Parts: sequence; structure tokens; C-alpha cells
Amino acid sequence: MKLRLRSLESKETLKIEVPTPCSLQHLKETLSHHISSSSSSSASSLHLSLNRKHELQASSPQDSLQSLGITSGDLIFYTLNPNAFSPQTLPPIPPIQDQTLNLAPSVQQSHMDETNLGEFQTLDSNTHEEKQTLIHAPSVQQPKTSDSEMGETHLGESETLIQTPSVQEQLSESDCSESDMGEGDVDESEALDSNAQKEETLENMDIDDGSESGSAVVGKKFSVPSFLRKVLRDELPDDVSDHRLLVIAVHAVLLESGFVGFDSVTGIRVDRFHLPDEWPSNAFTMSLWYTLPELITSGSDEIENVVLKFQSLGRFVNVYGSLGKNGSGLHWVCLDEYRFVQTIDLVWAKCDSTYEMSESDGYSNSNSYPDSEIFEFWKIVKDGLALPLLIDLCDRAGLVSPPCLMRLPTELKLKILELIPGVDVAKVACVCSELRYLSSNSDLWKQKFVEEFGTAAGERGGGHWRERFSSSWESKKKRKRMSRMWRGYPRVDRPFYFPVRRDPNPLWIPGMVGGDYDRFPGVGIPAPFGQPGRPFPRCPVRRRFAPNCNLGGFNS
Amino acid sequence: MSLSPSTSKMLSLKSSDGKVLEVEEHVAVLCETIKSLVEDGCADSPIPLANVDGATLGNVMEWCKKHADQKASADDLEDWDAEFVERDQGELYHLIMAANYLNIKGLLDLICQKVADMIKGKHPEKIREIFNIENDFTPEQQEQIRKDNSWAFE
Repeated sequence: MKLRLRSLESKETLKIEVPTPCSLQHLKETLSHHISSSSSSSASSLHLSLNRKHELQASSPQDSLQSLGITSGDLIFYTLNPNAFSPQTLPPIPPIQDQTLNLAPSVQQSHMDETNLGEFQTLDSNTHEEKQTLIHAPSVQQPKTSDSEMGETHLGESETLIQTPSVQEQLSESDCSESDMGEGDVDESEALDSNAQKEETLENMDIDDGSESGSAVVGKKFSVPSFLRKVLRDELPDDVSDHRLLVIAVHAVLLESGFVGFDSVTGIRVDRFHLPDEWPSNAFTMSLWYTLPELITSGSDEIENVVLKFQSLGRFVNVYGSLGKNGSGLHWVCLDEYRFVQTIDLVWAKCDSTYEMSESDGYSNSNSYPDSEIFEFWKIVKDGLALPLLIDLCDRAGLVSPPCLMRLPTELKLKILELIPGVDVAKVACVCSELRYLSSNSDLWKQKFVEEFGTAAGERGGGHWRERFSSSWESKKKRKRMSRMWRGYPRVDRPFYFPVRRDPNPLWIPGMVGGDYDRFPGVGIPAPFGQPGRPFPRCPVRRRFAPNCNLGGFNS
Repeated sequence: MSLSPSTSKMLSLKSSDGKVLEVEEHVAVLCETIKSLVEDGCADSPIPLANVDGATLGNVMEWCKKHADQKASADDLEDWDAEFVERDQGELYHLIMAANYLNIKGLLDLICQKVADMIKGKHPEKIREIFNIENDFTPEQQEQIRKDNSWAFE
């Protein structure tokens, strides 16, 4: 059978063919032969893992790979580091050392895997068999037949693992979760089911993010779409309502930001949300809970968490996020389904084709979908929802919060203030006490003053630059207003009148033009005097001819 | 290629999380911190960069590589930079910290300008929202500050 072996360190993937009854020992020997370039490698110092965490261990070296659950096409990670894989327990963070990256675009991809995917990878091992069963559950509608069929082709090997009844049970259990929005069912019952370990080995082709092996052609922008694609592939069964795509895409952003799913009732981490299969086409509301892995392992009874509430309003979905405990710190974003769903769907539809392309190392679909929209989506959700929630949650739980403006060193905050116009510095001063302090810096205001009003003005007097800036600003504003008023007046009246007027009455006194004088004759024009003697009946500008009309009316 | 492509020595940079990045010397010396190490002849072993994680180091070196390329025109670089800073806040701040630590003036200016642009023209409430800053003023302070800075609000 054919196996893919990927180095945990270099991400290099080897394709190795071994005879079908093959022992673990034999596989290690074959592998060490393949990587013999590194002198230290020998079969005994090689460590294999299917999920990058648990080391593959056979009760006897002669056990066949099949008995370990490995089938043809599986991806197996190997390392020489004896501590990289744990034999039993899940280490919170997989220790990865001396990772050699090449300064190729692949850097982006590989660190994406290490950092952002890192957390997510830990989820995979427990979730895949669930996904499988959902995909193949006979009751599931398959509106997108072609997609699901593609899914099945590359998920092929694991079809034997259908456990539909148990999943149905779990789903129904979860239906009674006390989600206050009613339909937001969160299922945690499958969490950390250790007996899934053997089955999970069959799933590792799916864990493998297909783009990885072709990462040399993947630029920076591809980390996000490929992450999204991966989450979509993991989360979505066959029916893909727009709502569901959007919810899962938001879910992906949360995972990428370091959150893990969480059940508010049992306080257990949820590796995968069981979203309802049936989605109302119009309005829906649902809630999802998240927390941080650090908070779960801390072992306290009350785990701090955040809750996302989804609420659809026509084509828009509002997502509200707040701390789970008392609902403080509400953040929300409004997502336009018309705008984003199509792109997300496109990413999702690419799951399978991309996967196959990467198998032949031909992954280069850099232009095949408008990834800028995905990035826009990612930024909206991450900056508007995930990061603020992360900061709130870290703050509440006493963890070191993620990097943000306020955690930059003072010199850098000052540098940023130097780059914004004085009037904005004044606004920044109103934000919080620290920024107020920083923006009261006299040197800063001197610089702003010179920028705004020039060095000549800045040379007069000294000190109190902020006050001088504000008073100069005020007077500049006043001057501007004045000049606007003054300029506005003649532009409307005089220039309009003088050149246009081809005065039919040379005796007419120009002094009457403008103001009330100008308007006055017009008032008198209407019916009684107007019509009979009007010399220029086609003239549209009434006031211009008013004096003549009057005269004409009386004289004739 | 740039000045001395074939002769350019490779430097190994080791990030805080233990990843090692191989970078051509003429690219890496855009970082003043590394440049001074190279000039002092201390750049033989993998250079440990304790304050930069692997992901950020990759991004920084991507920028350096682009800017070390002598062929790139100013317009090109400007467009490229504009795209380079289209990132979420988390990444931007990591980049600022890294650029500061590695002393890359061009990159630091670029990211700071990006953050400044995010602040520009925004109302204080909006700034709080974007950067998730808590309003820690008492109502009295708030009143006073508002008065002091009223000139900035139309």
C-alpha cells in the first residue's frame, strides 16, 4: 500500500510504498532508508504519529499496519525527536523544535500550520468519525449532490466506520441543551472519546490540509482560505444553506483566533458543534459558546467563556459576542450573506478539487476565487468579534491578553501618534487615560503645530504647544468660516448679475442690484402689471426684466 | 537578481518558538539588529531572536526579501506594501513588535502608518471599539476632556 510520510520538522512529504502486510518496524526501516541523508536517523530513533500527538505504538513490532488502523493513502508524521509525540496523554502544545523553514512562500503556509492550525489540529483527532457518520447518515438531505460525491471519493476509505445510530443519539441528547436561543444546539457528548483513537487513524487523510504539500506556490494570502476550507470540510455535511456556511465561516475565524468550542452546560470542550441539519430559510437564531484551551486545563469549576449569538435578518446575519458569564462587553458584526456566502461556498466547493490537485503537486489555484473577499470577511470577524472577545476573556480570566494597540511599548504608541494629524491626536486623547497622557506630550504637539501651521508660526513664543495648536486651529477654523461666508455672498449675486445682464435699460442703476433692492422689484411684478407690456415674454429670469416690465405696464 | 545573489551567504535565524529560518545575508541585513551582528562577526551560529515568533519572522523576512530586491520599482514596492499590511490587528502588532526589535525602520514606519490610518478621522468611541480600549475616565474627567478637546470636534 502507498503511504505518505511527512516530517514533523521540515514538512517534507515522502511517498512510500510498502508491501500490504507490513509491520510498523518494517515501515520505520523503509522510512529511515528514504531519509538516510540525515545521518542520525535509524529505524529505532524514528517516531511515527498519525495526528502529530500520539505516537504510533504497536504491542509487538511485528503487528501489521492494518491492525493499527493504517490504510493505504494515509498520512503519517514522523520525527526523530523522541519527545515530539506523547505515548498516552495529550500535551497541551505539541513540542516542535528546530523547525527549519525555507525562505520560500511556503513559510507562510507552514507557520500557519504550526501556529494557527496548531490548536485546531488537536481537535481533529476526536471529531472526524463524527463527521463521517453525519455525511453518510441516510436521513441527511443532499442538495449538493456533486459536492458530496466528491467528498465521498476522497473520504473513501473510511466509509466503513458509519455509526449512525450513536450519532443520532448524541444529537438528540444535545437537543435538550439549555441554549437560550432554542435552536442553538451544542453537543459535547462526544468530546474526548478515547476509544475513537483507532478510528481516527483512518481519518488522517482528511486532517491533512491538502494545500500543504503544494505550499511552495502558496503565498501569504493562502493561509486563511486554506484554513477556512479545512474547517468547512470538517464541519459541513452535505446540506449547505447560506446561513450554515456563514456560521461555520465565523466558527473558523474563532478557531483560528485560538478559541475552542465549549459547552456551557457541562463545561466541557466541544471539538465540533452539531449544528442542526435543518435550517430555516429565513430567520434563525442560535448561540455557540467558546473558551480558551488554557482555561479548560486550569481545572476551575467555573470556566470563563464567550458566547456568540447569531441572528439572521433577511440577507444579513448579525453576530453578537459577549462574555458568557454576565454578558458584558458586547461586540457585534453584521455580515451580508449576498456578499460573502458565494465566496465561502466557492472555497468550500474547492475542498475536493484542491485536494486532488495537491495530490499531484499541482496546487496553484491562486486566482480561482476572489480571496480578497475572504480576507475582508476574515478581518471583519476577527477584528470586530474574535480579537475583542479574546481580549475580554483574557482580561477576565487573568491571562496575558493578545497583542493590541494598548500593549505596544510606549515609544511605539508615540510613534503612531506622531503619524496622525493633530486634530486626531486630540480625539485619541479622549479615548482613555493612558492615551490622554501620551497625547499630552509637548514635543508631540510642537511637531503637530509645525506640521499644521508651519515653522514660521511655530517659532513665535514657546511651550504650551497643545494650547497653541488648539487656538490656532480655532482661529483657522474661524477664518475659514468667515472666508466661506464672504466668498459665498458675492458669488451668488454679483458675478451672476453683472456679466449676464445685457441691460435693456441703460438708465437702470446698478446700485439696486443685490440684497433687498434686487428682490424688491420682482415682488411687484405679478399679475396686475406684468403681462400686458412684457417686452421679452420668453425670458426665464424674472427679476432681470422686472423694472422694465413695471415701467412698460404703467407707460403703455 | 540583486547585487550579489550567488555569493550571498545564508544566515540562520532562530525564532522564539525554535523555528530556524534560512535567509540570504543581503536580505537579513535589512534588519539593523542582524546587520550589526554580522558586522561584528557574530552571525555564524543560528542567530537567536528571542522576541519574534516563527510566523512573524516569516512575514518580516518576506518583507525584507521584497525590499532587498533591487529590481523592484518604487511603485511596485508601494503597491506591494499596501497589500502586505492588509492584515488583522494581531498580525500587525506582532509585526510592529518584530520590526522594532529587529530595528527595520522601513517596516516599522509602514506598519505604524497603517495603524495611524486606522485611527485617523475616527471618533473616540469608534477608536475604543476598533482597538478594544476601555473607557477608564470618570464622568467628571470625561466632561473635562471633552471640553479641552472640543475644538477637535466639529
